[in-house]
Amino acid sequence: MNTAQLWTDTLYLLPEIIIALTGLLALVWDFISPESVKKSRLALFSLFGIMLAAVFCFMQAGLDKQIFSNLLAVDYFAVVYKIILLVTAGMVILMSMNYLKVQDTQRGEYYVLILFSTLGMMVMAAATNFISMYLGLELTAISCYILCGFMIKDKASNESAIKYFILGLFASAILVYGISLIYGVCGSLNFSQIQQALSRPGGNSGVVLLTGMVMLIVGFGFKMAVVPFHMWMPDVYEGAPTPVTAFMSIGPKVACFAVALRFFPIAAYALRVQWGFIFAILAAITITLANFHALRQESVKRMLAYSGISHVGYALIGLVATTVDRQIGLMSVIVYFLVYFTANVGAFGVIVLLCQKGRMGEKFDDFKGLGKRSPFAAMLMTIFMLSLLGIPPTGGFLAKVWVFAAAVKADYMWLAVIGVINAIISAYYYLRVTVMMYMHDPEEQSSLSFTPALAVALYIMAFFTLYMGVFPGSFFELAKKSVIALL
Amino acid sequence: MVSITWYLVVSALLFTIGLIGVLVKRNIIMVFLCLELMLNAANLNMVAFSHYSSNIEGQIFTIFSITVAAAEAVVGLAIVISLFRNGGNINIDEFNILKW
Repeated sequence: MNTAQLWTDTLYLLPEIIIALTGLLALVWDFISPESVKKSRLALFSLFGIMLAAVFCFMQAGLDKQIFSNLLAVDYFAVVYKIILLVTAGMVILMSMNYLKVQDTQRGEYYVLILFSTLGMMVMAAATNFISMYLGLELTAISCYILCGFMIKDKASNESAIKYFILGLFASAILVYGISLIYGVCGSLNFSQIQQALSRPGGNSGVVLLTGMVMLIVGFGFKMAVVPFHMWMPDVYEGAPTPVTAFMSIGPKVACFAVALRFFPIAAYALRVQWGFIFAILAAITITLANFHALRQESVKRMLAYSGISHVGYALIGLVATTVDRQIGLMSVIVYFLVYFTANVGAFGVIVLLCQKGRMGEKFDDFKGLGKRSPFAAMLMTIFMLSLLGIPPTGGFLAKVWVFAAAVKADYMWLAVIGVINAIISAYYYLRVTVMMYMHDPEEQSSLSFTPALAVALYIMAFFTLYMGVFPGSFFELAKKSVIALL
Repeated sequence: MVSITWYLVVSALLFTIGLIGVLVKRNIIMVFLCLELMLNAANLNMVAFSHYSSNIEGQIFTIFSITVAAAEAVVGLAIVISLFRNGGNINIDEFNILKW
């Protein structure tokens, strides 16, 4: 690798470099600017950086390159995931402008941490080597630990941060140990070389390799909050500031899935019987248990945390389906996340809207009579809930149908049946929000005030949720192209 | 020459000690130290494998892993300090505001 090669490779890294520079500049700006300068300017600056990075990401669509000695890949798959992550970060920043003002914790490093965390996720989405994957994972995680405990005077926020920190580190340790065992057997940390090593005759057996694989799955399971490794998640979600919860319910999970999709169906394809079996069991218990916990929550934020766990379970069904038909399985997971992220960010956005001074707006009771107080907010929330539930014409319907179809095609009929039954059960807690909004009288009469930033975020998310349900063609095309780049 | 098995046994022992410590210890600092023990067990594995297969990647990973562990320690101790300021103790059993 010569110097000229290094420079051209660096050019392919432009979106990441822009995000990193924006974060660093924002850090300095926050430090030198006087207190009187409004922090919302910092938010706008971060948004600008994110948009610029997204533009450069779009320009990379269609490339298929390995850069920095196969550490990172610049392909369609990475681009799709980076766009999801950048849009999430942008929407979260729009929501936070409102939230931080209400909670009176206007500190600049908040936006910096969101940017750095996004950078880590982008690296994960592009990683084709365990070294780059691990660095991305830890950058994401460390930024999220701080974001969780951002309200330092609040005990719940503190507690959420320490729980996330201990369990996140625990997961990392197991993950790294698993990686070290796989490295010992395969002799490389690079995904494509691991693939070669595993596909040699007799290369896919042995106690050490299988132990490593199981530890890798456990580590990923913790990070993606798959049952039975999910215990930390509802606590962390409830204690963290709401926009951060919205961010964490998408970002780390989506990024972990990007790595899992690059590793399991491609590099570890020779071991598909083993991991397919484990993931099938995990998916079934994840969906079922998370659903039953969600039924008995009194806090909407906590309910959404459990619903997020069950959605990871649905996406896992798609991953299991890749054991038979890789293209359909991978496409179904990508489409699932495209749909899930719009609806989920939107739902958290409505909670942020309800959050007023001295009232968190997280309980089911806070949604009482929202249909009268603010018909628009109620309508948007209904769209998001229907999409999470999977009712046409929202995108959620198509995503669920695809995942189940992929499972049926892969002869995992029982998994599809469990998924459908759980989708029906989940109607209870999603529609409960709608019932609260339209069939109860409001407890307080004041109408809610939309700030422009929050309104923009909510409208964009609602638009895409509906658009994906009515005109899914272009999104399928997107998923198809990214899968072809991967295979 | 020491065979690789010994390295693997030591690292497995370290990992197990760390794992048990995380589950048993009640003081957050001790839990944190046990977590570091688990991470270092993995690092030891990496270096041993790297040495015996004469492939440098494992050692590169270890250097990154050590660096990341340092960054993690900074953040973790900062969180512990803010906990201590608010609650006055760092016993893991005391953190039970958030519950299902």
